[in-house]
Amino acid sequence: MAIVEVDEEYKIPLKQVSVSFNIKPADRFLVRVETREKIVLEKIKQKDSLIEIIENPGHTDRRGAALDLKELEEELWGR
Amino acid sequence: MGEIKVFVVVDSNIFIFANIAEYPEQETAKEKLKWLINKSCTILVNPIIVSEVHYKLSRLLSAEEAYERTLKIISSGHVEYVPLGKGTVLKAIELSRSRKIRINDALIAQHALDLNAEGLVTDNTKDFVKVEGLKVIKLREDE
Repeated sequence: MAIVEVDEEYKIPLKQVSVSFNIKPADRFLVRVETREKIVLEKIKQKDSLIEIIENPGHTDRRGAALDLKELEEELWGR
Repeated sequence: MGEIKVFVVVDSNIFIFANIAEYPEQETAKEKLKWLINKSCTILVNPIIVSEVHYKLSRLLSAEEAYERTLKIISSGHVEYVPLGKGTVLKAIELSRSRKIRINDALIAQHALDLNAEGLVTDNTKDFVKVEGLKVIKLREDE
């Protein structure tokens, strides 16, 4: 069991337990107060950000050759 | 017993197809990424792939949307960002020369080899098949 300390900005560093609890930046938690001495952090299930974007693809107004990824790569890296 | 982790490198074109509705490949690329995720593969990206994704998305979408989508790719729990080491860069320069492939593709291919990745998922098979030892996983299996 790890002990963490609240800093002057009232932040609790969770990095040292991030691997064990699979905590990543931008994860969201529901803070539930059980008693005055016991607070439970409940992870809010979110759709993964990669799945979210590929299920909601963007729309481009480019058409035809302007969509050619090889051309865009040429622009970026040169011939 | 611990779960065996499988790593695959995913090329920028797969992310671009999956992110733009107007590409006929959108559905195929989306399903390919989901297939990898369902197989518990960790998707590896490096600075070259991220640069290409951001540049291409910026040319196809608004700057803001390109920024958000690139960040969401890197922030995904299924994606791991791996920086390029000097050893990989040096070998990639040699690979680029010997196989006559562009340095960006050489950096991606060499990195996949050095990371012992299961393979490289790409739609650009023409150049990557020239790289000995690299398993190229095609976007379209019928190719």
